[in-house]
Amino acid sequence: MTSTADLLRLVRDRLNPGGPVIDAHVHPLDNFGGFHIDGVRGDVDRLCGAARRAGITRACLFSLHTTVPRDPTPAQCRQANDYALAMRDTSDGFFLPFCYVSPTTPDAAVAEIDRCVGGEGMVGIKLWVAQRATDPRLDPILRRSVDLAVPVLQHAWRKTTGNLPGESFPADVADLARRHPQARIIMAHLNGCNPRGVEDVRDCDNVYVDTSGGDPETGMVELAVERLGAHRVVYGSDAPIRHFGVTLAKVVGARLSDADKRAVLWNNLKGLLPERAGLGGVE
Amino acid sequence: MIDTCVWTGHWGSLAIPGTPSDVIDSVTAVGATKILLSPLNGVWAHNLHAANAGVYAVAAADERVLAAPLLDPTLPTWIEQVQVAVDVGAPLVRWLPAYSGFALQSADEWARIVTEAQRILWVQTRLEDPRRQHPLGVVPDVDAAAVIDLARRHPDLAVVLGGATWKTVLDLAPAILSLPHCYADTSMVDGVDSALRLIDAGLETRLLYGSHAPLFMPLGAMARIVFDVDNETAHLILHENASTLLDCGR
Repeated sequence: MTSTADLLRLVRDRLNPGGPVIDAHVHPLDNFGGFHIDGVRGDVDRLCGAARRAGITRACLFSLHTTVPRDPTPAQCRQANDYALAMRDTSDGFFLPFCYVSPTTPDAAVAEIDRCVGGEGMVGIKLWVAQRATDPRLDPILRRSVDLAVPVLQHAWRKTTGNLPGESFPADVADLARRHPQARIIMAHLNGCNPRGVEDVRDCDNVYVDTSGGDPETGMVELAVERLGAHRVVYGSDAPIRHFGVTLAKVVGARLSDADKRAVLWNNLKGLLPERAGLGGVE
Repeated sequence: MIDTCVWTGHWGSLAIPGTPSDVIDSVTAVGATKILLSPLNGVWAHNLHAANAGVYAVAAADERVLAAPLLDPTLPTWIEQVQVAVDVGAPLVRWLPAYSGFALQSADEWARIVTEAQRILWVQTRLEDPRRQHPLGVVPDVDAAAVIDLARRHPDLAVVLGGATWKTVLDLAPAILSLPHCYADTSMVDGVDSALRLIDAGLETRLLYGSHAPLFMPLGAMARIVFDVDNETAHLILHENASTLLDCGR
């Protein structure tokens, strides 16, 4: 009879990612989950602790502001980004912040990108639900991402219950990718986009998909790898809404080769992020 | 280790490895030694009871499996089906109120019959996130508070709140703890530190490990326990609580 301690050891072994892991999709506890945290330090300690217990090595972080407005003002974006920068500095570089902007105010968005990516060394751009990806006001943001050689992580879902007015569908992300073939776009929420969403972006080689969003449904990561290729899938948790370990299990427990798992867990996103992310010496 | 939430069969909107052997292999691979198995094929059937024979046959052939039949009290044969569960020694029956179309507020007579039969009543509040369902097959979640209200009206009945999110379980923690035989499963408890927060709320003796396989990956279900919970508490969630509960259904 296996003791509980032996069983837990056995399962931990099965969950071992076999190397470093970058999480493409993390929010501060300040944004989601109703945590009672003690400022940036408390946020870093608890979120980092949970991530490291699960074997996460680095995490791309984007704050959507403490009040999580769907169409934030430039001032709210700036506050959110300052919080993410503080988490980066407090975490000794564990968190790799993305710059959160709203396409509703494209000029302000570009200025904020210049401040955060150009000036502060953020490593990507985050777009949420202010406007759908078909909106031309995204275009200057995407052009700036190309200039600065950073990826754009675009929220996407295909909700049976109905998307929000500014919430992008996977087909909207495909439209964005076709308008900006030089941009590198990470479409968030594989499970939320579902198999139809994977087909929507299949012909867009500059679209990658993160494995977050929704429950740990059997076979979804395998499906994404089969339809897009392992080189276009990146691990993402959407923590704290989702659990680092549960989402990691979607990749580690998938019926994929070790090489494909390594690509999803580390190599692909490492290749998308600029060198200043400092991932070269981690392996 | 007891996996209290396992299914077998076909699911229309998701390709899943749902044969009994596939499912048993997947949950035992992460340590399950006892499995409470229910038929997915019955969920969308006009007569959901017809699918129970399959899990009874699996349970008869494999001592690791306990059949957990689906019961629909709106079908005229449902009391016969309760008796079948008693006769074959199935300790737990599952209700899917949202799929069968009945309100828990009107289920007192049915709950009384389950109580008299000394079966455990598992009320599944969700099989699939409504945002992810097929657009022509949308089924809303069951109100978890109504499940707890039913348990409160029938304190001798062992009731499991199945498929609830961590926040729902956390909000209902005081009510769950106030009832002697009320439990919740972990199959949809997601989010950072979710199990820890439920344990901090005093629920460590009321949580049952459930994988929701094959719809969900069993390795993920175990991850939320092994990364966050100490060995002693994990033993409660993975084994001891379910063992105590199953004693109610024998």
